[in-house]
Amino acid sequence: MSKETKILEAWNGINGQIKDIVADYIKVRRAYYEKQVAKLQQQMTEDAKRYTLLLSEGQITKDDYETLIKARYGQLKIELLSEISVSKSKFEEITRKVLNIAIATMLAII
Amino acid sequence: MMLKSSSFLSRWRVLLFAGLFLAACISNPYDESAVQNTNNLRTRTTELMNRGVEPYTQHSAAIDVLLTDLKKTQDQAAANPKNAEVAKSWEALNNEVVGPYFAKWQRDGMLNPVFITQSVQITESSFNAILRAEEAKPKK
Repeated sequence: MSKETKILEAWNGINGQIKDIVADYIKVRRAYYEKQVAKLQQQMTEDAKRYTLLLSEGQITKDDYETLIKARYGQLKIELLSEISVSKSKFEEITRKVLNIAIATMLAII
Repeated sequence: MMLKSSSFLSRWRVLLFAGLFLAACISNPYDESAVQNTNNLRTRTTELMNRGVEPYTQHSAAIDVLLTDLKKTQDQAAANPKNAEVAKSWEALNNEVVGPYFAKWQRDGMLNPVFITQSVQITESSFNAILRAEEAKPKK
């Protein structure tokens, strides 16, 4: 068997592994992200309800209320950005894993 | 055949090195000083916010210094193109969470304790989200 054929066979094997790793990653992260978004939206709703109650009880003013709602929206934005950033970092770990598999396999043949 | 095979191997080597180079370019590694700075700013910000029951004028100098440090951190994060989400988070923290709180304190002179408690919760959660993003960065 020529070296070229060996390399192609090895690469086909790696391709299968890469597909599995990336598919698993996307499946897990998508489920996690959807769950987190729902959780963050639920928390925002709970907080907004609390601020509305405080306003109705006269514990805070209308200006306090508006400031709190706007700031809480800012918090939600930051939390969503954080989830994206964490996801990107995890994707980097996956690309490193894929790269390590490819390098180890190909170097063994070369 | 030998020549063809050798050129094929060279191509693979080039591809491997290109892959390694690409991976190095993509990564935005964990930075302990960024984590420490965020922790430090969180403590200073919430401590000052809790003083909202006192007149703004008593704390205006400390607030100015804090806002300058927060803006500096935002600019540093924005200077790294691989750090877009964290940079946007600092921008939102400064413009939508912390900035309006101190502006209101300045405008009103003193703040309502119930409002302060709720605002501090929002600020702490926002800082914690930024910390989670910083701490998740890949360690070299």
